[in-house]
Amino acid sequence: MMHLVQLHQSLYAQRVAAPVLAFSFAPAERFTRWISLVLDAEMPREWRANTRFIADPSLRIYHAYGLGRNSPLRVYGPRILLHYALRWLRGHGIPKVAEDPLQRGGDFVVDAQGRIALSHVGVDQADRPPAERIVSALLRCHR
Amino acid sequence: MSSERVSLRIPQVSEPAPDFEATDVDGCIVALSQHPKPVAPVFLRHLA
Repeated sequence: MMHLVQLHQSLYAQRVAAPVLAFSFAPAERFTRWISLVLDAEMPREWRANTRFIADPSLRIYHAYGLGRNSPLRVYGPRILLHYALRWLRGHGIPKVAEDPLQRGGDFVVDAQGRIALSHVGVDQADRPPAERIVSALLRCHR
Repeated sequence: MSSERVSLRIPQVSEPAPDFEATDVDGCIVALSQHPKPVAPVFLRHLA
């Protein structure tokens, strides 16, 4: 979730009006509830004026982009265990997960010709590209 | 959460982006081929 917030913050701060398509494999009803209860609490709605939210519980689009399931060893590798340990130490507890924790996510940028300009699928569940890298790829496509 | 093995391939830089058509949470149709570009598709993991 923080990744999505950081991306929108960077886009807004740099006045980049490029659209974002945010996918979840949660059912549409749960995704909508998450947007209004969780995401809206973390960032102003104006940051996401160009964002469309798409629920893909069948994983049809995830699979079209090569995003299958990760291995348990990668999902619960050292970085994730450290992340959870830090959360626990800060008193935040361990988040409960309703959806498949092994399903992979990823970040892409598609240029004006419909070609991939950035493709990042993390080696583990904590691996996301910096927001600045996505913004830079979007800006390069404008040149 | 299926155990079915699917052969998947991640599209790489400069390859054509896989097209799709879907309905967003507001009930509007989104088709990548018709959508303003450049665009950043972000595929979330589980919702925390």
